[in-house]
Amino acid sequence: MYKQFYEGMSLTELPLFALWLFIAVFLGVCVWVFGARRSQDFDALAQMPLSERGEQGHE
Amino acid sequence: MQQQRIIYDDTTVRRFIMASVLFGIVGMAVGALVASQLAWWQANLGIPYTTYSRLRPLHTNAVIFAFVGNMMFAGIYYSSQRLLKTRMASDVLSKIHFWGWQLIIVAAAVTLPLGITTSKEYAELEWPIDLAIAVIWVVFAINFFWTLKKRNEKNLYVAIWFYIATIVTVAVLHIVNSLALPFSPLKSYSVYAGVQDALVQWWYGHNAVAFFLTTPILGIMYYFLPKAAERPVYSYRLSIIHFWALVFIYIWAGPHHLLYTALPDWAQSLGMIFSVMLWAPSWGGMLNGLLTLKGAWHKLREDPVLKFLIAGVTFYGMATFEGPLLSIKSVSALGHYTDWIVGHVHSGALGWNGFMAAGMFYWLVPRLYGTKLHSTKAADAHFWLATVGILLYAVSMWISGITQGLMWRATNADGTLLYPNFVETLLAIRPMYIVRFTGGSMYLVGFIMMAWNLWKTARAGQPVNGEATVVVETPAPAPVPAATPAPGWVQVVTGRPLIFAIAILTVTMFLGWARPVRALVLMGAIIALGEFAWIVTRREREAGRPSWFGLIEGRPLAFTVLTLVAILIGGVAELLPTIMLKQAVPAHGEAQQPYSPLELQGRDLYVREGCYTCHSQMIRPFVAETQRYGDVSRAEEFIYDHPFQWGSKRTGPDLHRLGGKYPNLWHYTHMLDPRATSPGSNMPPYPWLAKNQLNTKDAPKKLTLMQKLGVPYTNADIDTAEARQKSQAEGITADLATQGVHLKWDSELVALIAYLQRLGRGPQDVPVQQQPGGPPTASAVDSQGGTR
Repeated sequence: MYKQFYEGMSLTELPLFALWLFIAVFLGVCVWVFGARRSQDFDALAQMPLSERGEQGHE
Repeated sequence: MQQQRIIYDDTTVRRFIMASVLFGIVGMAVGALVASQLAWWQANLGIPYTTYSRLRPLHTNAVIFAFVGNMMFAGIYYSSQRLLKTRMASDVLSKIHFWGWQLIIVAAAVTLPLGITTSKEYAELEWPIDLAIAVIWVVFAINFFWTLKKRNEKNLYVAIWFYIATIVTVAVLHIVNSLALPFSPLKSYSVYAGVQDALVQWWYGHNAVAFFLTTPILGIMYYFLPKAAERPVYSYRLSIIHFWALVFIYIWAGPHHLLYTALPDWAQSLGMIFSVMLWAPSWGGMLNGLLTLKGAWHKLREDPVLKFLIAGVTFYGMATFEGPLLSIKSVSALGHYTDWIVGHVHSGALGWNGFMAAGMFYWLVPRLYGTKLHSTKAADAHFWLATVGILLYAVSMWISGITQGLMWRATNADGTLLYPNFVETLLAIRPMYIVRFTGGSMYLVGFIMMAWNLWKTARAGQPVNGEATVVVETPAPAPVPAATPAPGWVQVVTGRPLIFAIAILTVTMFLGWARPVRALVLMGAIIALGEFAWIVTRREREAGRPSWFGLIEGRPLAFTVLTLVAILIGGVAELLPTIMLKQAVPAHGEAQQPYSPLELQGRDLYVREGCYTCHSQMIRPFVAETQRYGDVSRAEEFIYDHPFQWGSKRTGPDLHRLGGKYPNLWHYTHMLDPRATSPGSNMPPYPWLAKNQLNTKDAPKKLTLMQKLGVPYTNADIDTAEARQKSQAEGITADLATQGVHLKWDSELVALIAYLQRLGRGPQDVPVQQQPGGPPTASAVDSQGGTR
């Protein structure tokens, strides 16, 4: 069935490959973001715009 | 460790803000003018430079590139310096960037009303200006990446990611879509034709929205919203998912502008699927922005900055809900070519871009001048005036668009059209055009109030450049390592997550060739690989080793390459098959013959006057459309169209099968006084076409250039071009003369009539017979000319 599907739509092989690639990368990023890093790292990153409080002339 | 004092370059920020406000007023004023022209045709004033079809591209270019462009640069320059804890790398490059960009805007403001245009929407500027854009963009990129290089902050905040994606992707889009062969210093022809040109153009057009109007503004949102709310972004994790999903998916969505056209069906479906997928990251980003105010909603009552920013993010949510909705094929069938699209675009432009700009300006200008905002009440009044203005605009365009869509497709019980006269739909929506003009004008008045408020604020203070002290690690003599670690790029390329991802992907590809039993085994292998990757990642984390993404995040070059790969995957996978399609186009008789020299000249006048801004040339496969306009448009009919003229809006009817529908006299009358032939029409008159003389000497040169682009003109065609042009023109003027109209054969109007009579059928002239011993003469040509 898969073979027939691909054979009948030769022009779509490249987009399909890219779609699989997207799904793999997307899942990878999700796994990394929600699983493989400590939340305090993210908290520190999220504070970056607020870290220059007290900048002379602008705050 | 040592302390370093940094004085930020805020002069450039102030300049970009001033330019943005100034050009915002100009761009919106032109928008109000063109809106009035649709309601009252007399507002075209009967002169070329103020005619709707020439001013509409000026409006879109001014608002996108001058207003939002300058605003975006102001936000990027301000926030990047602070997030990277360093001054911009080069003041000279900053100055070149600012002044170069303003020169480009002035060049656009001069050339577009003159009719110097490529006709590719949001990419109308001609090749010398395109080159200037590329140079100035490279200057900006060098300055930005150089600043990244010398930064005093290891981590790159998510806003910087969005800026990187913007810089890289806009460069790719601009270069690929602007590829053209110059004909003269102010005229060029796209290297793509027909379907390919349409796909490349809307790949560009949609991603101009994505990477010029959205990603940089999201970066600005992620920086300025936490600043204004005085609390960190709701979820940094979500911002990472938002970024990568958006960057990858957006690039695919372009074909949703071409649903039910002659574009191959698979490309249409792909565009639709990815557009619908955009719902998730867009709304993820919107919620991330809105929820940043969680626990501090009371601030909205007092702070005009937060009002604008939060309303802007809300409009982002509305526009990004409506966009994927309109990309569903059955919805597009109703909404495409109608005012619904115009309403959708303005929800984004006025609501998202305009409000984010206002919020940022109200926050920035007092700080850049060391003072308080001149009038909070005036800012509040601006907010409400603009909000009501947008609602009037959007609602009127929804009503107008859905009315158009329904009236165009309405049929009687016997299957005939209920509203066969196109003007009937135009008359039905005219009240909505007046409401739209009112809403847009209210928004403009609010914007002018903001300009006054910011001006008074600046006058009350003095320019202040931000200063900060950062702690910089002094380079210490490096101890001799026991073992030299692998270079960064090697660590990235050989990182386990990448290896596992490639392995999983490779196994996944074999699924396509596997029978059911093998497929089950392969799926088991994929799950096992995933599980193994998970275990390895956990062990590495527990061992305290840096994550793979951590390696990327700390290396701007690797990050940029990864972003480039993400956008190129979509671009290449989508564009390449269609570009390779050329050989696969089936032959289809006379429709594939190139334009005659006079028709080609007429086509260029059609481009110059911007007819594509109101007329499509693409009949979709619907009964109502074929009844109204004729046979469905086919891909092979456009293979010599450099550039394509499918259009994106039907303020007037489709013209693809206009050829032969009316006599020459009808076209002559219609161009001089549209209401004489179509009572109730809002089309502007084009009297100058009858007076202007055609540059007849250009014909052979144009054929030569088209030959280089692959259009099958023979050398004999080029040699006889001028004679053929004259003979066809004389055929038309002779026909007009029989009905009492006397027009010079070399007037521009004759060439335009020849083009319009050609549309949807073969060339309407007959090749000149070479006379023995002398040049070809007009007498050798069929006197019927274009009227057949």
